[in-house]
Amino acid sequence: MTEKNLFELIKASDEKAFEILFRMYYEPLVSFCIKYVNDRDLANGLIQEVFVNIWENRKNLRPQQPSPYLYRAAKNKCLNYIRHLNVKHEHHKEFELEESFEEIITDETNDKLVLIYNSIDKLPHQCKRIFIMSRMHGLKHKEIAEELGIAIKTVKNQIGKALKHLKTDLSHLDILLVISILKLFSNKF
Amino acid sequence: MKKEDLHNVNWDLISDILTDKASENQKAEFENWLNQNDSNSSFFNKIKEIWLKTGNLSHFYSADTNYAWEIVKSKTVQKHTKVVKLKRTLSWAISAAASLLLIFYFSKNIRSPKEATLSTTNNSIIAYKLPDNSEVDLNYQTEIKYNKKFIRKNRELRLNGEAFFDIEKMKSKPFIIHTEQGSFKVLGTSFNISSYKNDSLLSLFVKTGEVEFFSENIKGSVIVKKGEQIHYNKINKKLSKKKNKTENFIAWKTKELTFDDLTLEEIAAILKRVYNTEIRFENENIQQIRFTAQFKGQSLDKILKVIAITFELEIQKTDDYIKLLEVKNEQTKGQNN
Repeated sequence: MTEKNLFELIKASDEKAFEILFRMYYEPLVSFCIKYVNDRDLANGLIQEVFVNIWENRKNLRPQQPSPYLYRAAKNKCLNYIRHLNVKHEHHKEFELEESFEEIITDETNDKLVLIYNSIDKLPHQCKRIFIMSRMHGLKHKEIAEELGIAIKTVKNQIGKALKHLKTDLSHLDILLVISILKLFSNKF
Repeated sequence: MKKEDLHNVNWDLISDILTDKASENQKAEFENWLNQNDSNSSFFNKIKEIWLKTGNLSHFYSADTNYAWEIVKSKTVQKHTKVVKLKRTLSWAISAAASLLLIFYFSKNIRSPKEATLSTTNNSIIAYKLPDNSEVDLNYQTEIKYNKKFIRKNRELRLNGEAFFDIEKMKSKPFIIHTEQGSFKVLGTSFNISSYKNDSLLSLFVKTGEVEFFSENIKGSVIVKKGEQIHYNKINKKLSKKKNKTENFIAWKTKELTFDDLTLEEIAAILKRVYNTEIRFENENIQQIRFTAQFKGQSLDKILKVIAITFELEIQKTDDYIKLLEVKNEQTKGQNN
């Protein structure tokens, strides 16, 4: 699975591909949308609608890079919403000029994000849960141990197990390149 | 694996180093290990790279993303799913019941999804996984609502109807269920609550672990342990507690029924909860017949047929209910078989 063929897979009703696309782009698109509507709850709702529309019209998807498509769809959703409200938005024109998002990410980087996601997804249930709590949610070992009612030592071992698995699974990636691009990626949002 | 064994990896230490939690002693120990040979340091560098890399996927798994995904999932990939994933313990019969029309929706207003709603109708029951991995089965005409901050803060939800919960253990975040008649607080356990708004009786049956029950009208709280059940009457505020002999309580979910010398009237009340079908009797004589039997994964038709054959009764079906009658004509008796 690569980023480029996500649309093809979604077109064929692949639910996992749709979930990956969603998880990869949801928050960046919400941040992007807030610039237009200036309201987080509203932005959440609009971006959710964008994804629901994509799924409903998946038969019409063409194989292409998702990023430009998604940002364009999000922008249109926001602008339609603003027009619909018939509210004169002072910065309206300024926003329409902003097209830089299409250059933000290179294909290669996102392909790797998909690989990393898939690799994490393959971890055993408890191991995956502990790894995500530690790495993604930033919880301390002690907090995780308390939440799950297990020993701190088990938490650490599970994290080690996850890292070992990921290291083997992702050994073919050009790791340093990925890191540098990812840093760029995370700075943009 | 063997290669890593050579590095003599101490994951305790590496986890602490990566999360910046290492003490001065640990740091010294780590430095020592790192400098032992080049392969140790190159091994650690690879692990550290993985650590950094995965951190950049944080937004994939954030609470907001997880929550939004539940909403979008229910409107997309799950929308046409008629058969909900059921737990291994359930028999084929409940799969059939669950494959009935499934109504599954979240808050009507997608633009401000502060609260998620999950509900069933007259002819649907569903099994669902909450954001914290706890599982809930909803019986007919049941609704649960929970807040967007479900996981981040306390795990709290509102229930109207009947549901079986299997709660994922999280020590620092108790799971709290509010109903019209009172609230329940649990850590990690499985139990059944029946609390319909228009029903004067609330009941709780605890299958594993223990559950704490609170109500405005009760001082303190009541702890209900494994195998126990309580009934609370919201009109006269009376609470009763007893050991439950059978698990008929969760039969709507398991389709496993035990009738231990019960009258047909009592059995009809149980069957109504399980199959959502009203059973009437021609006269009081039939109502008072006593019956003992066990059923596993049987349909209502099959159960009624067994009762009818045993007591030589006739089954009459209408759209709204099923009636049991005495067989008038001697000749028709044998034809029930």
